[in-house]
Amino acid sequence: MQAVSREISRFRSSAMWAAVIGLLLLAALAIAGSFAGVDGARAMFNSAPAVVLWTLFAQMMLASLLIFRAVRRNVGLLAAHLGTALILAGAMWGSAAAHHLRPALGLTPKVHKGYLIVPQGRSANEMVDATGVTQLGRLPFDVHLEKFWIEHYPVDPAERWPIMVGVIQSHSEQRLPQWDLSTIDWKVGKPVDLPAAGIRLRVVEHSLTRIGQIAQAPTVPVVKMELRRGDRTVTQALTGGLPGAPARLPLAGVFASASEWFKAGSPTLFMDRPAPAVKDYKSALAVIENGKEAARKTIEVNHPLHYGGYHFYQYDYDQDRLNYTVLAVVSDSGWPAVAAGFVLVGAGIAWHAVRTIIRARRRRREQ
Amino acid sequence: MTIKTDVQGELIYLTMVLYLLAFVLLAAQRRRAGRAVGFAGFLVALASVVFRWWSVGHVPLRDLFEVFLMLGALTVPLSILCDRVLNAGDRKWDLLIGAVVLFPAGFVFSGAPRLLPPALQSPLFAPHVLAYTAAYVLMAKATVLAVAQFGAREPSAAAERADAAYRIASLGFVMLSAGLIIGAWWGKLAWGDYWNWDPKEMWSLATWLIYLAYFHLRAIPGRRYSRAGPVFLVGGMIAIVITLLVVSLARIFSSMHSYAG
Repeated sequence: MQAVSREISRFRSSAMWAAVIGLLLLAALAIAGSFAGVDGARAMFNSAPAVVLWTLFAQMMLASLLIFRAVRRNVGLLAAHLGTALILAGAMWGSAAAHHLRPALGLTPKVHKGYLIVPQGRSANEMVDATGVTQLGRLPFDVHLEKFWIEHYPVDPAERWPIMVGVIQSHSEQRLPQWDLSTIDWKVGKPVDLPAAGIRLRVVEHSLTRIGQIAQAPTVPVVKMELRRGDRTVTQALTGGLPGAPARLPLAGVFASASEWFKAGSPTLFMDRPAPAVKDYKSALAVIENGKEAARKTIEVNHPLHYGGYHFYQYDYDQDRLNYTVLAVVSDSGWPAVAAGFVLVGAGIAWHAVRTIIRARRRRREQ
Repeated sequence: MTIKTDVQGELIYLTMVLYLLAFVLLAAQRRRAGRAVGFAGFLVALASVVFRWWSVGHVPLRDLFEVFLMLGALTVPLSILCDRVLNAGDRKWDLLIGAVVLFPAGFVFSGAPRLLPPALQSPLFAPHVLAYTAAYVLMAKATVLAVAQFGAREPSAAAERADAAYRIASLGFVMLSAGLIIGAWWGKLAWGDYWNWDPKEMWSLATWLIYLAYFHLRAIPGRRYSRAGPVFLVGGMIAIVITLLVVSLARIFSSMHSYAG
């Protein structure tokens, strides 16, 4: 009896060592995958040998329930192991390979992942690949785009607007002057040399003013600066303008004469309103199935539409005229199992940790 | 390296000075004074985080500057938690950790405010980053204790430090797991996949697996393998540093987590 007990104990020890080695092997593979890039890692971990490995791991999770009484009796450990098996099963069921097998298993075909290009005011149901050319399949319903728009953060007039120094490269009666522009890295008090113009610039003040007299008049920056060339120094200011109307300041004042300034390429400072940063991309969508509206949602990043076994994500848009939106369409197969697995693993680990801490405190109090 | 001359910079430097002063006082066995100064340092660190929040208009966890600011602020409350609840850790070394993690925020990373791009505008953003931030502080403490076990004069003291490291790492692992799971859930909502095979994700997974292997090692029936435990904890800490810094900053990895750089 004692010999049997020793053998079981040795077997359990070996099983735990196998788990430790397996986990370290998986960690090493994850590190190797990080160097392979996103596509390389995806290919590596979805390859046939990897599928065998995942299946083995899922079986090890379930085998641990048989081998270790502690895993069966400890709610936290049980949840963590079952949850992991569920995540692996859900991930395999949601993989591209599993989607290819659906027709062979007598299930309704589904596209694993694709893109839907939907013009404004129109509907689409044909999914394409990332190139936008190859058709992958048709949705059993239409997705209608009512409107696509972009929201921006307001431009802060107190932030440093970009200032550029321009020198005319070429003159022609038939063409507008061609400017050679370079951006200045400016800060109040910091001297900056402009070699193309032979000028040293130093911003002495950065303040705000309103364009116009009414209360709603926009606020713009005023940048006052000292300009020095040789022994001549002048003080000038650039006042920010409205969108599409950059402020201009010809630097003729530091040159001895207008012709000298002209020969130097008419150096001029420009200050333009910075492009506003994007706050969000939004598409107002409606799902039309059997001629009737079945769902409606304005989607944005982090807020996809879920309908008919697919999630629809804001992915791209018509960069020229905002005339169409591009939705990433992802099958939801396997996701419920993965989500349930996440909850079980998280709750299980937390439960086990709290239990361990409580037992350790109890042991210390008893000592 | 640059010295910040604005209010934010001054708050960071004041926190570092207070943490270092508290460390010196505690090392000199001036316990009451050391704890009081350390707590004052925490209040300044908290003010620093609140000031940043007010300045940028969003939870200050968007880039490495803000993450390291938060690391510095979390050091003291987590130190108190470990001391009171887990009966583990040494406050003076925690204060030194706090001063060290504030160094990059104070001298290396730019504090220029940055707006939140669309992908970061999620209720899961703050919990994901906060969970990881807390995990990193806890795992750093566990690593320090685990390495310190080799400096113990008595086997019982070494075993006590190993057990203390295990308790702190247990709590750290809960936070690490929370960070990983919330991140996966957020990825599903933002990008369509709970796993994108991104270098940051792969290193986070490797980190998690190293610590998971550590807990399985500790659970092996029979021998305690107390000497192998620190190796795992140090390995996990190295993986954390690579995940947090190298993946974000090194050009060999191109990651969608480039916001953090």
